Amino acid sequence: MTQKTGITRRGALKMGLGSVAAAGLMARPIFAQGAPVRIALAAPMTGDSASMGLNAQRGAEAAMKLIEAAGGPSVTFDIFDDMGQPREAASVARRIADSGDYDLVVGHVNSSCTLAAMPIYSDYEIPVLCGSSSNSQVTESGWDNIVRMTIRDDYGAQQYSAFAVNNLGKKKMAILFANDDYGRGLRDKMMVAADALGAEVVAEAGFTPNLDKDFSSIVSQFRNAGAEAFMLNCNYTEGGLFLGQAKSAGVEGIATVGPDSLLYNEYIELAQGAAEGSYILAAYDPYADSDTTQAFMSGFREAYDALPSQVAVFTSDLFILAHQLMAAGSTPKTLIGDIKGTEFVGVGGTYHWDAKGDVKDRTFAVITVKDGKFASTGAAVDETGLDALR
Amino acid sequence: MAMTETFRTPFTVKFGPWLFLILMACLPLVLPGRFWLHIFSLTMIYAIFVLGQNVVTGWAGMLTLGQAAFVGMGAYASVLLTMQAGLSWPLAFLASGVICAACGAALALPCLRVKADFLSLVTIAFNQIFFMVANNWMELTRGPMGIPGVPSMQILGWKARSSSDQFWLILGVAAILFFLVARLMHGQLGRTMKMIRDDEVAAGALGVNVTGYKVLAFAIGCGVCGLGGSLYGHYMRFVSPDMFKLEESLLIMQMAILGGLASMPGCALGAFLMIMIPEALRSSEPWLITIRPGVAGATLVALMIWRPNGLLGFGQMPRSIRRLLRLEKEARP
Repeated sequence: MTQKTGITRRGALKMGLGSVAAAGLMARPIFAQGAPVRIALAAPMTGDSASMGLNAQRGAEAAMKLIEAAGGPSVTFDIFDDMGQPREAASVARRIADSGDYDLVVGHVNSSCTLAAMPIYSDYEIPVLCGSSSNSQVTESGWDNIVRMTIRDDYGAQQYSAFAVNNLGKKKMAILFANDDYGRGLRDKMMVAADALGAEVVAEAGFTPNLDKDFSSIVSQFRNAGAEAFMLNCNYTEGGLFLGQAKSAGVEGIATVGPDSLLYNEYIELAQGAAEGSYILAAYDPYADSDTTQAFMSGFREAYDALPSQVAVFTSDLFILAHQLMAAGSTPKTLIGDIKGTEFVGVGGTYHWDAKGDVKDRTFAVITVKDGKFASTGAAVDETGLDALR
Repeated sequence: MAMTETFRTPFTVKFGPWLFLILMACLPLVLPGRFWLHIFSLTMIYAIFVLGQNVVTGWAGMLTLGQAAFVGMGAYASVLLTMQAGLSWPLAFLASGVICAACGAALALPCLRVKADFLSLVTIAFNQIFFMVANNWMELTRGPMGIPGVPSMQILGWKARSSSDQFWLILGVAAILFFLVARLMHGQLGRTMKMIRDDEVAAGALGVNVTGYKVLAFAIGCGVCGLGGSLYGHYMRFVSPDMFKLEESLLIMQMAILGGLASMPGCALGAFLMIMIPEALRSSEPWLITIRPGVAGATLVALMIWRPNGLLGFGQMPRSIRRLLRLEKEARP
């Protein structure tokens, strides 16, 4: 067998192309220390999920103050409204990508919007730092330009179920879920987790978010099925209404477990006392003792007279993370790789990322309602029996 | 004298569409960046939806408010046929048109028992039913999670990857659909539909099969929307039930009204304005973000006051413009 040596035409062409590309890279200005970091914040500022967009904006504004105090390159950001609609998200993504004005994107919030926008960001190789899109497909679709802060639906569902079964000792679960990508995703994974944990889902009911307000028939369905734990896979409005209506129907004292979409004061108000003793497993603990968290919480309360939601905290942490890494010499091209290799301590706690861009080794903070207020319990989820699912 | 004069098609009508097509085809060469190309691609896709709406509402005079259901049906059919059944995109595209035309005809039958406002209600209900089915039939549609990773449009091995490729492909499909529908609507079929629209009783008395033509209008209109839906799904590369809610039907109807019912150029103009106005207003300014969703509605209210037949509704077009376009002869002294 003869081995080809010397320069072939194809080889020469490759070398030529390679040197042109290298020259292009060298000519490209290296991200200078002191140059501003330009962020596009994509969130639903209008429409059904506008409250999440508002929280994202406030989180960004809160982060800007912390960034200014920390020094280093300045950060500028522009808000792009995706209205919580996939079509708008795709337009927003093209607009951001086409302008060439941004180093990175923080967003989107709704999973469906992130899924619609990602093919475009991926084509343009724009780094995407996603806060709250929890659908597992976001990091399972093969895009290598995204990392996210929130804990995936499938992992979350396992944790909520394990808490109800192992920590609270409840074996008969009734699942209430919002029939959207979030609630439905949780419900599907919860069914699998319940099975692995040896628990039984005795009843389940879906509702249309922002439309259904009467849960009385679901309450009686859950009561008749002999539910020992209510698993609420929905946001605070419906979660609170459901508990309030259950109380009116005389169904009280049933263990309740839900995600941090319930972590709003309105949940307690709407439940009319029935939220007392219910558990919320949050991806971050707003009542944690850490100085960073407390400083952020008091600053946020002072500025907006409101508790920051998960979206606000993640947006703020993403801004600070991007700023830290860019100040340390990351470029838009290397940012995602650098994030995956770093450990970041933010308001929401400590984050690490895996190769897909999901956070790893994150644990849920267990928060309860005590005397009409949210309070941290300091408890940890007992994960016995979850090994089979990993 | 006037009676013996032969009618000659005005040159604006004869060559205008071709000129427009050539200008549109040149857009990717002159537009800066890919964002505006995306907006024009989206406009053309919506113009196809409006065309479908116009066949039913503009020419046949039936006020339907559920076209998004057919758009969604076309999108889901095409996406599932390519991804699950392994069909090539052109076949899935044609199949989605046929499926939607058949469903449109099937929906027409109960619809024809009701008139005017009630017809709107039936079609609104149909839109809701479609949304509920798409949202809950997990095994087929993946429900509210939607279907990500939809392949791009592909014809005989050629894949529309870049924005310009997609733009030209959509332009080609839109041009063919507009040409075909224009041939139908300016011919015997369209004239009969208009006749039914203007006076159903008189048309029936003259022996026109009113029911048959109405069912046909539904089939054509919904079929066109289904074809547009196939383009939409493969262009967005993601489908979810949220994209085909009642609001989307209302948007398509608004576009049809804005452009002018029963007007071919009106379909394109309505879609263009209703896509372009919100895009032009897209900004980071908080006050602009707040008022943006309301601007389209305000435009429509203004239009209803000053131009109730739409911008290009024939009867409403100012005489000076009609003369300029040689659609009407100079008034003789």
